[in-house]
Amino acid sequence: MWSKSILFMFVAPALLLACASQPQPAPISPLPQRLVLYDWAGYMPQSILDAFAEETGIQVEYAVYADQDEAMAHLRAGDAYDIVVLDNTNVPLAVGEGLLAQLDYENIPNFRYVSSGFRDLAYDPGNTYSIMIQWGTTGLVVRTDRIEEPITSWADLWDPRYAGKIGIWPYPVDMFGITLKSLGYSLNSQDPEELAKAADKLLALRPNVFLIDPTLATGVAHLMDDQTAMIYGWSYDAREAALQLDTTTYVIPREGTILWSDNVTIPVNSPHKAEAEQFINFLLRPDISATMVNELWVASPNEAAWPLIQSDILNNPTVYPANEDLTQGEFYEVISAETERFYQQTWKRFLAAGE
Amino acid sequence: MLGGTFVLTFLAMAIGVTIIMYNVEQTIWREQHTEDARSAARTLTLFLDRARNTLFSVSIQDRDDPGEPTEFMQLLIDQGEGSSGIFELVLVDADGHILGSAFRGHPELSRSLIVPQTVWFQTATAGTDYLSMVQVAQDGLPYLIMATPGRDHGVVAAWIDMRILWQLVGDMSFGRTGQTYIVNDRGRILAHADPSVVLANTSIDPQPEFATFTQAADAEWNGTYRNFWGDRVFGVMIRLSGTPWIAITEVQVAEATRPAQVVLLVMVVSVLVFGMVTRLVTASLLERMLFRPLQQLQAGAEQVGKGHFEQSVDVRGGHEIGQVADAFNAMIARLHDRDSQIASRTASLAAEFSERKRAQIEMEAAQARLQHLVTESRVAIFSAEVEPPYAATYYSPNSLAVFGHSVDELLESPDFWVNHIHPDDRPMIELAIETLPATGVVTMEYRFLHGSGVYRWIHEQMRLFRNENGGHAETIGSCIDITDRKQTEEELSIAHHQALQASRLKSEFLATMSHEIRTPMNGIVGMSELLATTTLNADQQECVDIIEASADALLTIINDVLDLSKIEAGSMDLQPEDFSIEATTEDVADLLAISAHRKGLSLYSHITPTLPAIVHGDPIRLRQVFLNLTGNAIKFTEHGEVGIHMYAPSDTAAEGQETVNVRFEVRDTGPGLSKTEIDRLFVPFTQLDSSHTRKYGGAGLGLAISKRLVELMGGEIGVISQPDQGSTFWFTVPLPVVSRACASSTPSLVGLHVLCAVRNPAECDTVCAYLTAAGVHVTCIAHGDDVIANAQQARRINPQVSALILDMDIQCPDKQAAIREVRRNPQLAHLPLVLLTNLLHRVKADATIDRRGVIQVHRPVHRAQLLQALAGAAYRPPVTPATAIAPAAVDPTVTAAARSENGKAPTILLVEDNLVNQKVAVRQLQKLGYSTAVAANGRKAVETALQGSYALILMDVQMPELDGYEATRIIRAAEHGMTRHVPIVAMTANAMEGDRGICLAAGMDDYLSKPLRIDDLRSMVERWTSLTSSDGPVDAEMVQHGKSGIESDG
Repeated sequence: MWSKSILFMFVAPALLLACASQPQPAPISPLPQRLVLYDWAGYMPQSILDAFAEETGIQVEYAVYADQDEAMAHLRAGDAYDIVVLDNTNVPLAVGEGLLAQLDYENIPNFRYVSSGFRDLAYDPGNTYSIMIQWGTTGLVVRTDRIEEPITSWADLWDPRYAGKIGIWPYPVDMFGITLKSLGYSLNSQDPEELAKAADKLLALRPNVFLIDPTLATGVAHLMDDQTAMIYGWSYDAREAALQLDTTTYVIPREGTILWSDNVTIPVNSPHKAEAEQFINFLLRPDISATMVNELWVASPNEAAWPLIQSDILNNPTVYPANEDLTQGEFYEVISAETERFYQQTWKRFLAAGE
Repeated sequence: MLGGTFVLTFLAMAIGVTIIMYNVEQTIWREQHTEDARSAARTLTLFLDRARNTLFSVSIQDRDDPGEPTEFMQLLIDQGEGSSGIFELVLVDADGHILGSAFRGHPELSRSLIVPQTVWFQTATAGTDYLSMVQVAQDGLPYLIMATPGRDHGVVAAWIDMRILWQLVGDMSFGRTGQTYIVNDRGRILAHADPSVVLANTSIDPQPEFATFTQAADAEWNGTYRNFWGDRVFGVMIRLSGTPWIAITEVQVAEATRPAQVVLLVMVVSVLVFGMVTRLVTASLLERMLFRPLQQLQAGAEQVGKGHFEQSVDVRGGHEIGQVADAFNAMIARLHDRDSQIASRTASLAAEFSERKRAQIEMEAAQARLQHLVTESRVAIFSAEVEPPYAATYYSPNSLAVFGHSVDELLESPDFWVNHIHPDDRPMIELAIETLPATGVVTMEYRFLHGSGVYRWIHEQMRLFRNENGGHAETIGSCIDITDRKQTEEELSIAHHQALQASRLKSEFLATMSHEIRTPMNGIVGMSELLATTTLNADQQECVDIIEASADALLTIINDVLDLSKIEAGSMDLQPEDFSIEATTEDVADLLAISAHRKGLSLYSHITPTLPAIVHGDPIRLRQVFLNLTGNAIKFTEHGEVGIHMYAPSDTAAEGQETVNVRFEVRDTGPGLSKTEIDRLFVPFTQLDSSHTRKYGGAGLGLAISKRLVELMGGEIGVISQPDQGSTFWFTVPLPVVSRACASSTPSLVGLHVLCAVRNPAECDTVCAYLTAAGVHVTCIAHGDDVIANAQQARRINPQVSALILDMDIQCPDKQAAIREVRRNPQLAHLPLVLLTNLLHRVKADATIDRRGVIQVHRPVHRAQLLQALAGAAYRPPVTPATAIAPAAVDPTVTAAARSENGKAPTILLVEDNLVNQKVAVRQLQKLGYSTAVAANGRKAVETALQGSYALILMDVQMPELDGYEATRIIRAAEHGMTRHVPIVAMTANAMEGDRGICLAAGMDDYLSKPLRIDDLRSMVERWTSLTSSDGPVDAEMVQHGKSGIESDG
């Protein structure tokens, strides 16, 4: 009798434990057949999406937006995308509004291929929400046969010798940035005195320039006309121009370029976060990053991809500028509402001055 | 027995000792471990401090010689030979330019293209130390970046090989299972003895103990928990000072409790051995003292059991045992006596037996009859036990038919019945049977697995029978198969559900459709109205008229369909408010006057003056019913008149009554209705016959809607009619009285004598009734074509007459001539004239007419207007021609309020995303003389509204990005604390109930339903712009004259 109860004292808990630790069947989650990527048009080669589908069985739908405002509007509306490409000014905005999910780096080991210099940047400390996949510069696309001496500086836009022969995009933030840089100030200056000086200088630019229709894909058409000497633009304008005419060149002005970057993010309401991370990891694979560069002629921060990039792209300063051309470069930061208002007011005066 | 007690006592002691030992052991062990953890944290802090010191020493170097810092940094790196983990040092200035750098292996930091954009630079240049996350380089090397502020806002940064730190952490082991690792404040593991843990970007963040610790401000925490790897551990968390890092040291609890477990085992084994020995010793003692005497007693008892009462027991034993034996012997003696008594009674019982036998035979016959009933009926009878599993004790033979199992099967096992009940029904059954003791009877319906293998529905009634002691004996019940009935019920329920679903879908569909149709209709209605105001030739004008008429008809149908679907879906809510029933009715009459007059019909309204002035009800819905009934009357009447009567039947209109039962009648001289036609009148989509449809149009919904609305308001509706006798449509509604006082404070006309010459007798009655109620003496005279003759006649009849009311109706060919005549007549010239005119045939101003003392009142006559006009004509000084003509100087289509003093129109902000609607509204507003600013969405609306000053904002509610409600809320929030309040009027395409409430709740002031009618728009804009403009309505005087004065040519 007593020996039985002793036995029970030891055996019963053991039995209970044994019952409790029986393995539970793993929950079955069906693989999603489709991820939705939301990006600029023409910035994601279809071959990459196909390759991903072939490897994983996951289709990627490529939804395009016209501009970042549209992308942000859809994000704010809570539309379900799985991967959204945002530029460096909109990443912190989206983070601040709680629109983005934290990336789980256990699923993105290929992040290690991103060059250390392109990680942990101020617009997303610790890469908590975003990973840069493309970057580039802003510069001057110049008709070498229509200038009198080499163009090296943003200040050359004000050269009266080229009055009426300079095309600018009607983007007030860019034009303010260029003017601030030409004065040696920071792109993101909030100093009222510097801003006032920049405004005066910007207004003085009006007689020298004409405006490019912003619905044009590139400003190359203007460069092909019979008088334009230069336009401000980006590496893809420069490449397009170079394909059409030998006598064009891309200049990164010595005061410093305006850097831009495109970053992959996952919206907080993505229904397939793990698969989206799998896709991002795929994009960061050196061979895939190299494919992107080779097809799009846009620089990638992926260092391990360099050996796989065509040498004519890697050595092309339009795509991969020399280090010394970048040291003065800056990214846009989020500017205060007050500064933005000042930009807009000045821009109105700028436009009015041309009428 | 005794041995068992000993063993248990010892066992309890053993467990107690073990627990005490365990606790002591644990306390010591925890303290020991906490101390170890602290020392580990100190080591780690020291390592980081050393690195920081290195950076600091770089920052204080003289920087005048650019070579110097580089040289010094190289020295620092080489000296450390990797033990410091620093593989690269860079010195940068406040602009992010690299002033110098040194490295082992290959450069990383100094290669960075965009130093100023990095977090390490921005953090340190702002004056704060920085430690990055663990990063993994391309070659798999783990590193982190440390940066400290340097001189002149410069920065010194180091690239630190994490492997050194990992090694340090890996060396810190405690006992067999102890481990130390470092996490950052978000739980990411930065250093761990197992590098793969770090490289997998492991985060322990979901762990609750960690979350609690990071939220608290404590520097240290310890406790027992299940760690990230699922081990039960005792852990210590310590913040590493000067960093966002936390060192965690953990030891498995199993290791800590091992010594205590060993002690417990030893104790238990020794207790077991001791117990064995004790038992052996005590067993032989007990055999002699206790067991043997007891065996003797047992033998005696067995003898008694066999009936040998004469034999007593001889027991030798202890004192207690002896006592038991004596008691035993006494009991045997008593049993012996009783046995003989029983033997004597047996003889008498035998005599009773034959009597009982007879009774039994009779009972069996009765039972056989019962049995027959039970067997032949469709009901299965059973008896069963009361307690679970309610084992059956009997089933009637016909149970086979009900259950599909033979009686033998049914009785086969006690739980047969329970086991064959549908599992879903079992709890219900058990619950029901539980109530049986309380209720005595239960009835239940359940599914039973029939012998054919399908579940069939059984209806069962069960009654509880008690035995003679009042205990529960058994249950007896009956069962019947009700599967067919259940199926029918279920089908009915499904059909009912489907019908409800279909009805709801229909209503939703209708609401959606009407919404979708309204938006394009806006374009059609708005544009055709605008088109009509342009110069058109006759053909074009006709086309436009047809478009307008068609659009109107379509809109009416849509509205009707929507209303009907809302009523049928039960979603039509009345919106009661205080209102003037007189004004509401007169408005309806005004609205329909033109169409009546166009057809040559006379339309009048007669509202009993004693009706309460203000009542409580839904004026919009009442108006809808008024409009429908009156509109119908006008539509179907070709000649004659349509009269609107409103009164309160005398029995309910008594003073002091809380609710007045208002009766509203429309009397026409139309074709009248037959009995069969009347029966079909109030049915939806029913026109009296197809010829009517062609002739009059409409979907035949109006009366159906009216009927439902009136019923919704608690009233009745009906019609009195005979063919060729005209019709009287009537309805009554009970309306709570708010105020009985007279609505408008009319100027005192008491004592005035007035002559009234009005052709239509009913209208004449109305005028007389209105005037008499106001204290005026009225003399009615027959109205002939000759105004003068009439007037003179009137004058003759009553020489005291001080005013003349004349009918200027269609039959009067030259109204100006008539007035001229009156004025020329010496007897009548001085008399004030009130002319009753039709809107279509107003008397035009003419220089030859002396307008003094002449006032027109247009039909249908409003009581208040009539009294005011009479007062004006009789008492007011003659109006000067200049004022009277003033309105002619103005384009009548331009609203008065649109012009402010400086002649510049106020600007209205139009917020509308749909381009068509935008264009329509802008052109309508232009037409009304307003200038317009346009915002295409809510966000732009907010910007524009806050920058500019607008007299009014017209706000679409459904827009992308930011809808109208939200935009309004933002604007209102921005206005908070300011005196400014821009009126905001919503434009909504979904005229569903509740929209108004939502608009007002969002801070809007009013709302317009799309499609926008230019007239609605005009009155809405006038209303709100006049409220806000500082000088108020432009000229109240002029507006008033414009209404009752003589209109000039133009």
